[in-house]
Amino acid sequence: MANRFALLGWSLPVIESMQRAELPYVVVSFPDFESYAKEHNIPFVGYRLDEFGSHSNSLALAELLRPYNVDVAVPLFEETVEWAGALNSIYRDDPRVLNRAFLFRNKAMMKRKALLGGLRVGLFEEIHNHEQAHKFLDRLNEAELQLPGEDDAWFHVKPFASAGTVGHRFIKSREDIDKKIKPADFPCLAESHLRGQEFSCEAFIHKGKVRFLNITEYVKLGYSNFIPAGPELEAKRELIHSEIQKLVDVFGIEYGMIHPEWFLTEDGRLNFGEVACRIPGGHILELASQAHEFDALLAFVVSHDPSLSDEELDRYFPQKGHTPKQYYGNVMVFPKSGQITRLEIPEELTEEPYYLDNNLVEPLGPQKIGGREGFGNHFGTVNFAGEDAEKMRELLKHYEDVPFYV
Amino acid sequence: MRKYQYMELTINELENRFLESLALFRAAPHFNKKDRKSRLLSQADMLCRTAEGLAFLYESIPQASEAGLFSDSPWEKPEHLVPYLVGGTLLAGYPGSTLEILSELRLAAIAEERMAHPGFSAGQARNFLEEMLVANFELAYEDFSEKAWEQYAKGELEKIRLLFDFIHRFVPLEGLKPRIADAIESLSDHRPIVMSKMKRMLRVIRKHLPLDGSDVHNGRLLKFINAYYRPTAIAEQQGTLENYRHFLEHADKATVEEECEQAGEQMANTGLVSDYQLALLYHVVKKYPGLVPVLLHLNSHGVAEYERHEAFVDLLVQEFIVPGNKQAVYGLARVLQRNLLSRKVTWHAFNRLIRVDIHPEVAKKLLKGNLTEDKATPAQLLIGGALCVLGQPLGVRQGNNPTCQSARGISMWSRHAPGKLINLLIDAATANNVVFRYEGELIESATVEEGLARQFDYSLDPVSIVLVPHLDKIYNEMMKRAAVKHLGVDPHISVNPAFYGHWIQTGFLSVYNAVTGLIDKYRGFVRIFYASFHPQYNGGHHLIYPVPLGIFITDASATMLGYHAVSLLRIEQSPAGEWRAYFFNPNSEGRQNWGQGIHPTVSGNGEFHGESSVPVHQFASRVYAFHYNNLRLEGIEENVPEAIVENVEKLARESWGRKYRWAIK
Repeated sequence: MANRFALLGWSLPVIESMQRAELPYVVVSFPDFESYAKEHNIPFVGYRLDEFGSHSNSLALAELLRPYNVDVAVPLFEETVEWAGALNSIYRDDPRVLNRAFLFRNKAMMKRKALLGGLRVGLFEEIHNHEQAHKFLDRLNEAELQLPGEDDAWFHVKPFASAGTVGHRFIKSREDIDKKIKPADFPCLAESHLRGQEFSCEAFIHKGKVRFLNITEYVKLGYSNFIPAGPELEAKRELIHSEIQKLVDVFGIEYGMIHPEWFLTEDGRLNFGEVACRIPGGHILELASQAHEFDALLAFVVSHDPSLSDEELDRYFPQKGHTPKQYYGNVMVFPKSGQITRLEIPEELTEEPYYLDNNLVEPLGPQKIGGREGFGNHFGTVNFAGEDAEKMRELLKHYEDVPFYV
Repeated sequence: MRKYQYMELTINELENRFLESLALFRAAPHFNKKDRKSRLLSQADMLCRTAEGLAFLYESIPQASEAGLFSDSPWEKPEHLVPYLVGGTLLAGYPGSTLEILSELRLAAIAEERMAHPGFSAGQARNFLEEMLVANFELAYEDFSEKAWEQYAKGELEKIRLLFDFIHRFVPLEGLKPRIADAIESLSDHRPIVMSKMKRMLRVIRKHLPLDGSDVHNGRLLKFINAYYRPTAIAEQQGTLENYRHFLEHADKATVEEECEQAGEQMANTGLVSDYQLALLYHVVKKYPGLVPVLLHLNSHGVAEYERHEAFVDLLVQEFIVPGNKQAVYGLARVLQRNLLSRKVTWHAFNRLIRVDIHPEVAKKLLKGNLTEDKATPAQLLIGGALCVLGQPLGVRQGNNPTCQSARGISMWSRHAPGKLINLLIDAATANNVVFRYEGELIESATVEEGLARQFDYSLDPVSIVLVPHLDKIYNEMMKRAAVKHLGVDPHISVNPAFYGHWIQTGFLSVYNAVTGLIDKYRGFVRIFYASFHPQYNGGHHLIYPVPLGIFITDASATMLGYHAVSLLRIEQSPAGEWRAYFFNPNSEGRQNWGQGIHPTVSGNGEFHGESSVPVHQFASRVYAFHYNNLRLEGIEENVPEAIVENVEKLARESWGRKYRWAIK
């Protein structure tokens, strides 16, 4: 067992899990949290985890953590992935651990690595300005054998290092290039549109092997998902498992949890979207905990610990062959654009047997709601549970559009 | 049938889920309870929606409370809760409404000695519940079938209904008689224009509470029941209105006169206008115009006014007063008593008002504001409302809107500038717009987006319904501009005169120094207050105009709650010889508890209808800003005795002053 885990990033649910399991930890996060941590007896090291770069010095952080006897670093958020990589490079005395962390933080590098390893990806390029985006579309249209007058091919642009859907633009025509891509989005990765049903996985890796695989079905990316995935996706579990193992091997991942996104095509093949190695958004690990009856946050943390034996690790995961009793799903509630004044729980929801609970917040006063970015600024989550995947899908889809704020 | 069985099943399941959620909430570490709490609340919310669920919550409330459900919330300490705020919180919707329901269940459990709470006894809990029921009478005995409730979510109203059904089991109506009588008498003394609250109380009493003359509280209640439901012996005899009208047709003049006297007296004593009185009025304007003053209970000034404007009064009665706005009869009586129609400005303004074409949006609002079951046209509502505001300037209220400034303005104009008020009303009613000047610029309400009120509460008088949305925006816009234009200067200095008019004195004082963030020069502030307004220290003068001032609102424990706008009307000796400040408080509740033993009264200390009063030093201790005439001071503030100033300062420091830092003297 690790001497002590350094949790990089501030997450109360993770701290709660660590306390409950009585595992040794120290939280590393911005100094702003220090007084709160002190007040609640949370072991804490304040550090400015600003963007990791050539000027930043993980040795200084390692030095700060030395009194705590830390030997495993765990990245909780996207921005802490390199920091964890750097620390773990030191702890494991293996410089390549940091290089692997960079893989997760540069979407173009990630794609290249995946391509090298034989995963199916789209046509992609790094682009630095609008002109290059237009050129990319020219070549993409050409490759798609477009005839004059036909619609443009679809593609996506994503900043290299953003989490989830932050800065993600879906370009469906030439006009979209100038309309949707902001100057600040560059440089970014452009990739042709991958067809298929999008879903994510949470694969807990230990000693380079997939120890536990959760499949999450997206109803609408960034709004709603449920666990376990419906029977259609679950039927592909073996294929998914082997593709993920391929990804793990190609990337050389030894420890931790990865959160790749895939597209399942109609002919049953998998396209690789992207992969992250922090806690996924959308409260996915919470749903996974409920469905598989284990503490997924804790499992996430301990997967980073190389010193655990297989048997020790088993304690943190569901029994092999465990089947979930029902589906757990949620809808993240974003008020519709415009003026809102108060929270109003829809009557139909209170009569819905699949409805479990919610943690929606009350608006502090009348406020104007603008657009959304990534998984940010949602007003809470509505949770559902039930035995029928098809009904779950319909419900989640339905409640994306029901107004909770008026 | 299937649905029913199914629902029953889910209630069991809901209970289990609630208990699971409660266990998770209890187990959550103190630093991570928030999320668990909102989930637990969402479970409780489901249970609140059925009687069985509510009963279950009542059973579980000791555990939930002990697990910290109320911790770190305004509901934490029962001794800080305010009975009359319960209704507003219940209507404000989830999650506040659900926590409020749980808080009531906790109080019921304490009252029934099913759980103990340090610092709050079973007796205190019962007392709270009783007071809460009376203060929120309009919710406590309501079935929410009327159209006035349509603006609220059905499920939320059902939660409220179930809660009160549940509470009634512990606190039967019968035992509330003395408190209800207090409340009704206080309402009557305060004479609000909108009497729907009192009428609703009377309706419930008549339906659910048999009253005989056997005890004193029955007698107190009967006075009002009689005034409203059977104002004369003959009205009682005849029973239905139809019969009564028929009776009047055939009655001789002496009998009708006797009826007018009785009905007029009932109205004067209670402020209530009954359907019978309206029927009488229709009858006498046509048949015995000379009896109109009797029915309106006018004195000689009023009689002379009526005789001068008889034709116009006939027209007002026949065209604009109907069962849907019958309180306008009282307003009319008061207008005649004030001789307003004999003022040229008011006369012309009112004659124009009755001929306006009402803007469709305004008409819609007026109809929405008619909370009675009787119909009235927008024009009738508007004119009836104008009679009431002009007749009862101190009967204007803000309802559940944060619009004390607007209410205060309407009240002041009604007293001192009725022409200006009617003129504004004409603009608002016809153009759905009003224009004000602010430091040389024009502000049109129609172009201003935001006011202070969020969800407008329509339980207001028609004039307020038409004007307040505009005034609120104008005021808010003026405050915004002032904040930019006069950086670091209290915006009221420039806004008040622009908003209210030239009645606002040119001097201005505030206890708060915006630059240092400290309470500064407090003693001088108190001295000038006394030297300006108190006849004992200002050379024996009374106020010429009401003084708008800002006060700190404090609760029963003298803790500051917020800011409020009131008008100081006069400082005079009460019948008992005590110097008191008499003021207009647009807040619906005139009787409050400000802590430190300070209880504003609305009657019994020489108050006129609509006034509140407290001893001067207590009032002064809550004031934070006022306008005064700096030409009339000439150093007389130095004569205000040190002991008075010290006393006021002590009250201030130990109440709202605890929330501020004070400048070192």
